[in-house]
Amino acid sequence: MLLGFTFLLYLIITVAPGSPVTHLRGVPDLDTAVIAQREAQLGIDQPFLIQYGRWLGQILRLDLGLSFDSARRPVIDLIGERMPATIILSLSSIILGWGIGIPVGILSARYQYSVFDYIITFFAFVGISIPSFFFGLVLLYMFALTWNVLPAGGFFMAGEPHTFVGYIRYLLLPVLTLGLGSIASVARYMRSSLLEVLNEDYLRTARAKGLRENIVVYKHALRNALLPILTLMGFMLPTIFSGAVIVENIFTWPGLGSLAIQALNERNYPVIMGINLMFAVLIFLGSIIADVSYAFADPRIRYE
Amino acid sequence: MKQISQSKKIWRRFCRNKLAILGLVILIFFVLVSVFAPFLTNYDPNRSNLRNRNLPPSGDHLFGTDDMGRDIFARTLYGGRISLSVGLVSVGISLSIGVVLGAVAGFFGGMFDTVIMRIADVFYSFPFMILAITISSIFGPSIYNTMIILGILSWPSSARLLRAEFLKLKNTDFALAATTIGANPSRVMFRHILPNAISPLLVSATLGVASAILSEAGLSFLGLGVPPPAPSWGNMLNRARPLHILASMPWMWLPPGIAIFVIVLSINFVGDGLRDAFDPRQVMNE
Repeated sequence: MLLGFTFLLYLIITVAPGSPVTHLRGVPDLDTAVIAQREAQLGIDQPFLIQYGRWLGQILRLDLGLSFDSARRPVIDLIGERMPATIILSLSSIILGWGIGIPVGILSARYQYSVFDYIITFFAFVGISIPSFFFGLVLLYMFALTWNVLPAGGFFMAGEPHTFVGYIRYLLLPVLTLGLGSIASVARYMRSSLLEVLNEDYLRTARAKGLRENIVVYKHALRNALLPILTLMGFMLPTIFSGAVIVENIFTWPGLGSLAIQALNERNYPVIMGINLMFAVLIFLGSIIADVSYAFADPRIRYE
Repeated sequence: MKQISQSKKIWRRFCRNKLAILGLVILIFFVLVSVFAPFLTNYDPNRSNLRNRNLPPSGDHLFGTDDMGRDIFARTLYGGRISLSVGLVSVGISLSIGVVLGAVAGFFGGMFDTVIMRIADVFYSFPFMILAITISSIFGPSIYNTMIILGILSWPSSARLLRAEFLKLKNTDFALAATTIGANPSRVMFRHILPNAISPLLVSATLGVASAILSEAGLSFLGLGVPPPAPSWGNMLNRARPLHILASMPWMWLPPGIAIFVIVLSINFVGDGLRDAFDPRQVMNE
């Protein structure tokens, strides 16, 4: 699957009109030989499959090539610099989303059709419908610009000590923006998953033998209801990363998302490819983790 | 006993969901307002007037003006046209790809199924936004490219859905009967099976419009969707991003932001209401 993706990606990039030498063609005094030389230097004069094969061979050796800009830095270094910020942002948002979404969803199902349930259902709709870029701007407006209690973006000034409080201050708004959608969708899934399990026969049995409702719900039902939520983990990573691109852009967060936008504006293909690839690898790892933890949690599928 | 038609039953169930009705009313309001935009405002959304820059809301300019002196009320109305048409067209594209591929995969199975579903997996498991901005910046942002990108990147969900429906329906008596009397596969697929799979498809298309509107706005917000000067809610938000505008001129970014939020929320309400209304399990407690 990862392979299929690399092919798709390379195809899109190569058929693209406009290459890093296009702007050179417009320069009147420039000899075509110079352009050809530049093309050969960048390796973009070869047929498609050869380019693709060579590129694939390189990435297997973790060599993502050199950036097209004047600095000609290795792409892997650029990505390595930006990756921690994106991982911190995404991971914190996932933790926030699951940490709040799961308990809220459980309570909502436990007290189905109560006022609490209606309020939660309504806010879950709001959470999945509000665009992150608008919610981010509202948070920015309130907390950073009007009340001046939190920084308007960025992630540690040069020379600023990396304290725990500092982390929280910089992370709070972006993580809230990115995490809101996950809170809402995890809560919705958790609620419907638990409600579905609560109708099962074995829970009727548990109730019939006189167990208290709390024990039935929290001990018998919950374990089974949490299983489908685990698989949701794998599905949600792409959404989180998509959101991260926008959120990083709002809060000038120095991660892969803002690097991607910058690289796109410069038509810096090796960097764009590297970032796309890096996200693909992260998602691949995420889905493996989700699968493994699923097998770990559910003894029924262990030996299949 | 009085016979009630199926669609009337569904409509009745839909009406019991108050949020869905509210959503439908708001949605119709938005559609009317964007269709009749020229009658609701005298301003041209793209005409700038440099003497009237950055005006706060007033009787002349209901929502104020932006940094080029354009009327924000007019831009919000016309922006609705763009958002709605991008939403509808891109869902149309993704449905036509998804329906055909999903039907083929589900009906014929085997190699078709494996290949199509693997391709769908590749699309599915990738961060949509990152691929979308990559493609958009390569082919140049434009409203048509935005529609095509959103359509092409989101077909796998309808393909998956339809494949599952076809797997379920292809061995039903009516489908086998149609095959037996000699109907060719495409007739069985699209005349006999497809109509029976229409309700989940309708729900997913409705929710698809909501997410397409969100994605268009997100792309335009990043400057890679609908390019200025055409008004789109996303690029209006993008224009209002400098911190001094954000801080002191909220009339520039609140209207488009609230518009996106409210329209997506109401479409989601409608989609959810449809899902419940179509759900045959609800018949029992009627």
